[in-house]
Amino acid sequence: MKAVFLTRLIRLKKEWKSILFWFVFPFIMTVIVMQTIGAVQESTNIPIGVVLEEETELATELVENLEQTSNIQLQYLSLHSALYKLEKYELDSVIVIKKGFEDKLKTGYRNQVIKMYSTDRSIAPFTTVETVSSYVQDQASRYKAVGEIQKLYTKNNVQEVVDAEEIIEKSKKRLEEKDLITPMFQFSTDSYVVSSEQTALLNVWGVWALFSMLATFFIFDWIIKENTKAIAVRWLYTTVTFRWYSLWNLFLYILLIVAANVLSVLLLTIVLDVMIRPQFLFVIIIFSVTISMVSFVIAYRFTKPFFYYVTSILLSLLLAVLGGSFVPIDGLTRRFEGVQYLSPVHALLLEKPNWLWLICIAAILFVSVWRGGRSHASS
Amino acid sequence: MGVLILKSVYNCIFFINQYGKQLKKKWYSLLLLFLLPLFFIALILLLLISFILPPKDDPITVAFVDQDKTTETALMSELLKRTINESEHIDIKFMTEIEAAEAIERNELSAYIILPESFTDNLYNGKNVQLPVIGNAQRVNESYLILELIESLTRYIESAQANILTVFSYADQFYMTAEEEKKFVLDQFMSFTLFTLGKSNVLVKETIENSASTTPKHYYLLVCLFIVLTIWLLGFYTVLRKEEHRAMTIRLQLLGVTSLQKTVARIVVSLVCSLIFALPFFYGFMYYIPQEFFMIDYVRVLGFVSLYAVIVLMGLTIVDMLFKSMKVTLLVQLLFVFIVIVLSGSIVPTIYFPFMLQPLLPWIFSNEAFSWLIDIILEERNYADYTLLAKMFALECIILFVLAQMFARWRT
Repeated sequence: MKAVFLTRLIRLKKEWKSILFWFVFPFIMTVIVMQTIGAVQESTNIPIGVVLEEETELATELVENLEQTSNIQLQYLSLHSALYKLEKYELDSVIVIKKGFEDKLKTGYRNQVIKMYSTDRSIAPFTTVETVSSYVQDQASRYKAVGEIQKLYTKNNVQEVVDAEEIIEKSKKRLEEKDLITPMFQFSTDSYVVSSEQTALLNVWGVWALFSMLATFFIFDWIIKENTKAIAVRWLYTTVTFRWYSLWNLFLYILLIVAANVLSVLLLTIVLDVMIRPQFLFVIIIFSVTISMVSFVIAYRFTKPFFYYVTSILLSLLLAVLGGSFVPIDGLTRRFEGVQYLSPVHALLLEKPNWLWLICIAAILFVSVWRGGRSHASS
Repeated sequence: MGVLILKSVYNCIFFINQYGKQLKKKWYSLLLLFLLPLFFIALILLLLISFILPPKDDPITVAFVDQDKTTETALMSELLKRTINESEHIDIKFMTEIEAAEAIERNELSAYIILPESFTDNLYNGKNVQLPVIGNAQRVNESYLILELIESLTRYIESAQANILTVFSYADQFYMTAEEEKKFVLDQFMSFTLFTLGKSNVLVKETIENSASTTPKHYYLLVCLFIVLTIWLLGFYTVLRKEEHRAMTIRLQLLGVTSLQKTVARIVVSLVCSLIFALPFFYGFMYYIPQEFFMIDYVRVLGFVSLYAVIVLMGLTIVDMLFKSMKVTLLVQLLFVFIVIVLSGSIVPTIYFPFMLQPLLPWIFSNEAFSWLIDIILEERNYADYTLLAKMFALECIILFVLAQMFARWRT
């Protein structure tokens, strides 16, 4: 055993740069991917055509509010050219502020003051509807307040006409000053709370899982490199068989990979400002051990590194997709329960240890190394 | 000079033959290569479809946990229940927190919302209220959908509340008995809540058809074809990789074989094979859709597809030359192909691209090729301009040539 570790040490002396690179690779790639996606998400740009049928104060206010909404880019057009552009799919949707907008709003009536056109390829009609109607609702609601106060005055026999502008100013100020209601989101499995801005398009751990699988697969190419015919002859002159040599090394590598993965997860929580439960680290350890053993079993079957690399990439992608790294798979798991067992990534994302994969792969490893060992002896 | 060129052309042809033989020996990997991108795309489509279409018989279930238990919270949750039931595919229940947590454990609930103690009081006094939303980690999408819904609702409530508070501040000038005040407050609350919940009336929506979306199915089929073609290019290029011993390389060099000749051969073989895979699909697609085509259209499609393919393949070759490690090369090539596909505008249409990227768009070759294919095939455009793709091709030729010369000198 000591001899095995010493041999490994000699090899590591030569290869430490490459190994180190693959250890930090998941961390670096996850940071890059998450930051890029965040930046892209922020600067995504939804082109919306605006048709102003009246240029009153309230209509201008609405448009100004829309201008300030992030991710929306307005183009002022006539109805004809807006619809033409929409047909050519140069706009996501078109908003028409109809004639009589201000008059209707001032009487506290806000039904059908806006018309929106979209196509069946539009990505954002739902969000646009929400944004526009919330602004209009805001405006209308303020005039409703004015009406209510006027009613109050009349009821108390005050002859004065209320100062609508003052009321509206007060209401606006109140809305701006305080966050009155804050939704706090958390998953039932979490002990922490995320504010909604953090709900990114992609799950950090899904991305990390992909790159950590890739790195682990790549690190395990030593089995192929050290199992060539030229080296195989030398085993005959040693007291250790290749089987035991590789098993001891598997043990060593599992330790290293677990340490590297735990470290990279901890670093990620700091750099990307996400929180995890302590139990999650245990899940990460189980995941790392599982993937290490999967890599070992697969690498054991290959003779050419190149095909092993291609297989590694394909397998990592497949497991990540099937585990729900990119597109959530809950729609599928509800229809076919078995889907959730297809990839160890799914359990990782649910922050549960995946015993099924661990036990299965341990059994496969045992059988394959045992048989593989025998065939080596006979050849 | 003439002899030299002839010799290198001869060498190229020799290697094209070699690569051809190599492929024939690996027919099983060709079959795999053919099916692989189709399989991956089918898988992702399946996931997307099951993601977008929730199962009909299984609506999203949300629970309200009312810990405040005032007339207002009861009213509000009842009203919310009605409006939400009308518009969305959502089922709302009332539970205690323990029941809700258990229901999530059994995966029967997508999320629950807690109306915390003194919710109403805080609202009336203008104090900040926190509204915990607890999602089911086994139903991520639905939880986020609920969160989005709650966020938009709280925005409306906030705005209504600001107005209610304003009305209250004016009401303070008048004397009211405790009884009257209570009634007034509740009246205002009701009236504004109802007004808020009617927000869906603000907008009239109309869906119109745009020229490509008269056939959204055809558009997405073309998108898939384009992506599959790109993956095949990477696949063929990868399969044709050949490890050569250093001794062999030196021997070949002595025979006047340069790495450039082998590279050209590899690109040609990958190109021809990918076209053999892809063109029947493109032409079959054009035959299947109702648009009418002339001979020239088929030629144009061939032109754009092959120019695009050559540019991608040469890009892959450049990556190959720049990186030494096999693992890194493979990953960078994969990344390259991924970026090419994303920037083509086939997955997310280019109109949604960030503002800074827009002026660069005409220079992105995959976007150029993809939009020409859309124009020619779906919009029956009777015009074609290859200038930009040709420029890109020429640029890559120069880079490739320079790199090949540089590396040839370094290695010797």
